[in-house]
Amino acid sequence: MVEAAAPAPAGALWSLHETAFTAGDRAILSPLTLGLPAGRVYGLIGPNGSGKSTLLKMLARQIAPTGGAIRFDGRPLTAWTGRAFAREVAYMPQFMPASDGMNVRELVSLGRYPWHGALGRFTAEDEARVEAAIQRTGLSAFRDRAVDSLSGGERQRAWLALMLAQGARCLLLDEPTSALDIAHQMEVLAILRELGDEAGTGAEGGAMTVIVILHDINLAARTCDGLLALRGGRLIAQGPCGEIMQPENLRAIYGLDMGVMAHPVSGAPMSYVL
Amino acid sequence: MAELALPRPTGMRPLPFGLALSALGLGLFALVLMRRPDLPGAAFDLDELLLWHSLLPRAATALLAGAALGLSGALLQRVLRNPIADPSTLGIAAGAQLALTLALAFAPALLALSREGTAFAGGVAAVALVLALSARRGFEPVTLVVAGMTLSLMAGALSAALILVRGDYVFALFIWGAGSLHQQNWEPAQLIGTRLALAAGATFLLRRPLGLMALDDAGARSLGMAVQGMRLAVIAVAVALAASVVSEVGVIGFVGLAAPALARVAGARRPDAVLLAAPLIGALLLWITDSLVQLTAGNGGDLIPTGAAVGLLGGPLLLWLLPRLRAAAPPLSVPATPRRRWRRPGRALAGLAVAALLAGLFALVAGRDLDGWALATGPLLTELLAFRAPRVVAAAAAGGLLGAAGAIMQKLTGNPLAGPEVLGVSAGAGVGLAAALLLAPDAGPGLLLAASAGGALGALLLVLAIAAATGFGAEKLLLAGIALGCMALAILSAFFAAGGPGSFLLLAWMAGTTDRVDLMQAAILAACALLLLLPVALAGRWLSLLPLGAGVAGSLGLRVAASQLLLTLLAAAMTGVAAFFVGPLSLVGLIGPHLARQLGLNRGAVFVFASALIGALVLLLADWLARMVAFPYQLPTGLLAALVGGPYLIWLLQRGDRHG
Repeated sequence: MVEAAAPAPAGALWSLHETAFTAGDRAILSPLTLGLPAGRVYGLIGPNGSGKSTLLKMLARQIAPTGGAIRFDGRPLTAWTGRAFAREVAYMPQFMPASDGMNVRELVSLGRYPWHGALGRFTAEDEARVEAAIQRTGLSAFRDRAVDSLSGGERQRAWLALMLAQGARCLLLDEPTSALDIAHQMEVLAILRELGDEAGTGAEGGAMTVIVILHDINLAARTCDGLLALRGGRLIAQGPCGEIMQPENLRAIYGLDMGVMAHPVSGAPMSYVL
Repeated sequence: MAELALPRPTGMRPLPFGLALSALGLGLFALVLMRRPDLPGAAFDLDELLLWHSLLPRAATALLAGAALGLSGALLQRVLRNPIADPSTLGIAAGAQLALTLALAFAPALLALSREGTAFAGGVAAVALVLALSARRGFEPVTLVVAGMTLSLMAGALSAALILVRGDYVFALFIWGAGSLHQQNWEPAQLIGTRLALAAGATFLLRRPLGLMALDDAGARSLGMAVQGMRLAVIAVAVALAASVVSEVGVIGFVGLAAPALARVAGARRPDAVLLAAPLIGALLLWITDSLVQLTAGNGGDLIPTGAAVGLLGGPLLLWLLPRLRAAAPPLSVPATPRRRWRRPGRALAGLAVAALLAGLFALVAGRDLDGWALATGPLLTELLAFRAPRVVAAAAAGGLLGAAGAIMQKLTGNPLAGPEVLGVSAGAGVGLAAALLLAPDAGPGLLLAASAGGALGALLLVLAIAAATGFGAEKLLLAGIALGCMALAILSAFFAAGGPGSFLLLAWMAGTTDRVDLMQAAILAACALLLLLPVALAGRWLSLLPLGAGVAGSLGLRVAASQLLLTLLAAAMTGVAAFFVGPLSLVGLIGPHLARQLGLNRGAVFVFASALIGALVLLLADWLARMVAFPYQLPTGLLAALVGGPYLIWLLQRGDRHG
């Protein structure tokens, strides 16, 4: 097993120091020290109630940690102003709110708020970014459709397009595939994978950093560069997919006897319940 | 059928709770008995007279009426699977009251024939209307209650208008309408008691089918029950109970709502346990309240009617319950998708503005004189302008403000049913007004206006705070608003019951008369409208982001709390200023945004301006109609707007699911 409490490497995009979250006297997340370098796709896995969403929400500044500190790009999260942070980090909650009757283009343009603010002009640059995000998620044909009238997969892609239009270099996604069938899951995850591969999507010519909560361990292993496994509010394993996808690790994470085999075509590790 | 449910209670034991409540009731009643006046002995014992013919029957009436309301509420909640159903939220009480008021004003013979029957007919008509309107949405709890509350508001407006028209003759109705439990004999107690016994018997016989009602319709039907027939029968029993209470002691809200809720919180879990505990708790609740009312009474009689006092106690209770109410349903689905979209919403806005302008001109020029319809021109117009111009300007400005306030509230809460009337904000303005009238009887319009705006602000902040504490669920927000509105109306009825010179002023305000507006006031109102509407243009992007919820808006870098607070202040000021002129009932704050959405103008600032223009249009029309319908008499504008707008709104509500 990979040791969890490795010191945070210098220059990591995200660095957590003794970050903890307690509700009342219940520890949702035990003190966690962790560094995540930029330009990778990280999968956050673990059973229900293991603290994945809490961790992601703290990274997204949706909730404040009750102990310790989080730094993004070397600066404490509390030092960022709202819009400056939103230009760097985009967050998609687990449940999408109703979209208030907007069509796809209108929804995606909201992603430009961190750049133009309440009163700034909606520039040609904004327009181009919105258009690029719509293209990227394959929604060109749905540009003028009401978001509420789209299917689950299309709606998820519309929200993803909003995040892309935000121009952030880090995406945080809380179970973006939970309500989707397998084909639509693959669609969304393929976009995330591409973002992680492509130079120029993130900052300084590097690839985008993505942190995504996924329930399906096989999809996570297929999509991500590295996995972070939580259980009972503790980080119990961290490392490249191949290292995490071992029977003893999977038992530690899920409390279930599982085996691992190679994907018949790609050779990537796949787990199965024994 | 969507459902709300109370969570499994923890920690509270039913028995100690019941005992504590009983002890409180007994203790207070003992105090009431001890405090009775010491009367000098005479030929017959006055003390005994007082005891046997006033205090004891009053206690008995309170206990029995409370039990009847508790049972009625528990039955309704069970068959509709709706924890916020009760005779007052479904409009039954208001319907019964309106039937009695109508009968008293126009057909007193009916009352001689049967007060109870008249009330029952009104209650049945109200509940039939509410159920028919929400049937298409599967009796979804919040739709049902919003329809019921809208109906209650309209019935209340009509009653107020009747009282205005018929003057003192029906004014006593208001005191009765607010639920006074004064008794001279045992008759009401006997009447309610027999009805309660009959209903309890029926409930006992139906306890098994009622238990099955906990399942959904399909489940109950698959177990062999005739669901709809059963539902109608039980509703009839519940309405009969409520009607007998209304006909004897007037409208007493909240007991039917609070008793089953308290029973559940206190640990009654099984359906029959709730049905048994709710009447007992209801009885104690009303008894305790009535004892408190008697203990605070001065020499001139009760300070406030018991029904109003129950509202004062029940409102906070409902607010306390709200965070504990767990929504078992997916959030209210919002049929917000407009049918069309405008490439250039600016043009649509300009069209609306022209329409509003034309309507204003028409209202200035067209009218009736003693010979019939006429268009005023030349010197006649100049003469009439002095009378017509202030009203037209005031109506347009107030309508614009209410429409804009409603639109902002809908964006703030992401809820298409929010509005100044539904969220209790207008009623809050009334409380502010009442407080000003009470503390400074000679207050000028400026002070009254400020008080009205202050009341609206307090109400809106309270509602938003509650909504924030409960996570901004659409249902919870509406419920908080309804609870607050009921509380505010209870305070207002207490003010009416106290009488005094302010109460007729307040009554006129309730009905929304604009005929006292002078040119100066109209100018102030118009200036306020411009001043408050212009900043909205700067807040367009906030208004687009906020409906998506604090999470999404915050992650896009919006300062959620600050923008919410600013918009709240703006909406409250708009409501307070407008409600001061057209009263709390006009419903324009709901109709304007609804129509704007139907027209496809639902984005950001455009939505607010479109709602404002439509609101102005609606109120201009209502004001013109109010002047013309009963010429040469004038009807209150707000009332007319409510009477036109209410049915339209309910119609919208029930067809809303078509593209949802």
